Amino acid sequence: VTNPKTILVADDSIGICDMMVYVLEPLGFKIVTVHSGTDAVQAVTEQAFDLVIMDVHMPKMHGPEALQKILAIRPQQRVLMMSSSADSTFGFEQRAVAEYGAFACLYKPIEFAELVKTIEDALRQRSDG
Amino acid sequence: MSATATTNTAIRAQQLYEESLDHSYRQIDRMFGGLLISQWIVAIVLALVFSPYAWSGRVRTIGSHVEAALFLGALFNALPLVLIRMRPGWVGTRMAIAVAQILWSCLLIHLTGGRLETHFHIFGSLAFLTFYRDWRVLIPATLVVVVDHFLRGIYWPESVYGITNPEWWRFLEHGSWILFLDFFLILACINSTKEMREIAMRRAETEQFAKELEGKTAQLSQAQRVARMGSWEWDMAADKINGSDELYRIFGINKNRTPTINMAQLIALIHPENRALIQQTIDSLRPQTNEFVLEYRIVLPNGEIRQILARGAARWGSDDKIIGLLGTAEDVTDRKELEIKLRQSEKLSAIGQLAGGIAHEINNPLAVILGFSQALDRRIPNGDPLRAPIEAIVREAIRCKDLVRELLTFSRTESKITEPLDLNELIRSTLVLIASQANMQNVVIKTELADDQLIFFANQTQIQQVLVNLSTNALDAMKSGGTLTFRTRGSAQEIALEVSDTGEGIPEKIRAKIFEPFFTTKEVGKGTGLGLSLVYEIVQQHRGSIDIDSKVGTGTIMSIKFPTKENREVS
Repeated sequence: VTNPKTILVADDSIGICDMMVYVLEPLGFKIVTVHSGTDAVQAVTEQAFDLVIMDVHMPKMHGPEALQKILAIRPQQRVLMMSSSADSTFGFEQRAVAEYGAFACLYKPIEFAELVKTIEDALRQRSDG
Repeated sequence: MSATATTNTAIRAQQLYEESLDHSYRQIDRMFGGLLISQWIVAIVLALVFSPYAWSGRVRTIGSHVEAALFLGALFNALPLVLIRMRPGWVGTRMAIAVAQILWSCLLIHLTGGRLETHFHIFGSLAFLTFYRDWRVLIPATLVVVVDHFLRGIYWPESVYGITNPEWWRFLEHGSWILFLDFFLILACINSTKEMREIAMRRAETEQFAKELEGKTAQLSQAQRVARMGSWEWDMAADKINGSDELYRIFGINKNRTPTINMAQLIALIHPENRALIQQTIDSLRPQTNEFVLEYRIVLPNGEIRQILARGAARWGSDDKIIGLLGTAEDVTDRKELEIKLRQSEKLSAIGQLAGGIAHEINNPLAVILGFSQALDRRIPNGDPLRAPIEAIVREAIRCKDLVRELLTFSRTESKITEPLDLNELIRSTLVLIASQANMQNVVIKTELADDQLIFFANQTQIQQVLVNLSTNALDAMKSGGTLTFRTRGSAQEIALEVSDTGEGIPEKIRAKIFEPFFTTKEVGKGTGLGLSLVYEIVQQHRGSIDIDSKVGTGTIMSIKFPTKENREVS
């Protein structure tokens, strides 16, 4: 058995975190969940993840800021952003990839097929790169 | 009147004065022409009948009177008659006439043997010369009398005074009386020309006022035209409505054919549903609440319906009864349409804002529902009784997701970036998306696209959404087959798109509603009612326009126009 890929899921909604575990663990991923931006940064500092999936809107430290901190710690880190609205307060969603260096930005609710495909793309590129 | 106008009036007055003087000179020249000839004839007759024996000094000789009348008369008349013909109105002509006329007086005095009564001819002649209103003609006339009387008093006294030995100063006595007369005649001339000047001035002022009035009327008429506002006045007793040009234009009345209309004719032009309103408004007027504002529709002769905003007031007779109405009527059709569009737009953006506000709250739980249910769906084997409910949960969650996403489009927070796009290219790429559904419904897709590229600045996602939504609606209207046609054409200012179907058509009564959000004719669960309002919103944001032409049972044509000029930002 190969080492399972590890994914950090950061979302203040416990429902989303539980759902991600329920959806992704059967596919062979190892999931770690945190509920704030600061916890996400902390987790990335302590441990290397194959992928980070992070919500844009979070208490304590919001997604964009956490993303910048994570990329500062691990410049090669693949990060998938999730947004729960099209209300781009800072226009972040539109610039997440080009300017902030996220791998992609998905909009909730995310359908199963889209989620899995995006995760696979992100991990493949990582192993390619 | 302005200073320029005053100067112009003075110049015009002088011109009118000179014109009427000249006219009068010529007229009197002609009259004198006739008189000179008549006097000649009278003189000859006089010479033949009454005094065939001539006075030659004191001696009567036969025949010389006739000769004098004939030849002297011809001599007197020759110059003035030629001048009257060649130079009518000229001052020289008048002078020549004056001399000739007085010479005639003298000749007639001679022919009548110096009769006292014939001397009155001089007074008559002078009075007649005064008709010229030019006192200068009296100078040669007076001189001729004095010189004639002086000379004849010396050589042929009987021919002028009728006696053989008059006093030597007799000519002075005659001259004095003539000067006495001249004095009053000169006064008459001066007064008369002064009056003529005043009349000319008044005529010039009247002309100027008429010109100014004409200018003001034209200005008013133009202002009314620009404002699309006509004015009118109704005289109740005569039942006559006196309307401005613009009023007639607004109501579609040909003013040449119908110069005045009465109240019944006006009421006939008003939409039947609004006629009672007019009467009610008139009935409700009281001297204290005199003014009214009223909106009604009119039906033009070509069937077009226009919206009118009328303001007015009543005029009251002595017994507190209305004797007339006056007011304005403004065509507010275009403004009303704009207001409706604006209201529609506001409604949509309110929905958008609401959606934007709650999207976050809805999308998170929805993501949990959709995520779990889709994962469950994969784990439950076929045939399991839980399969159906889980699939229903997935389906409905996706429906909610689509609905929220469509609502969010209204919040205008999605990408507003515009770029130069080719409409034809967009249509071709959209056809791929709808081809399979069209095929399933037996719908043939036709394209009649402009040969050239149709470049305009737009947001690609939004325009594609327009095309997909219009296509989907068209397909929904052709459940049992038909033809879906895309037509495009372009000009320098705008590009036009027509999407036509051969479907069931849109009934007239719901046509106004189809762009309203949540309005749908589809069965529950089949449509969100947002598709066409989204199309409307996107077209509005691109500063375009949309029109529907639909016949029940024949089909529908949706026409959209976009400006070609650069829209860097979608508003």
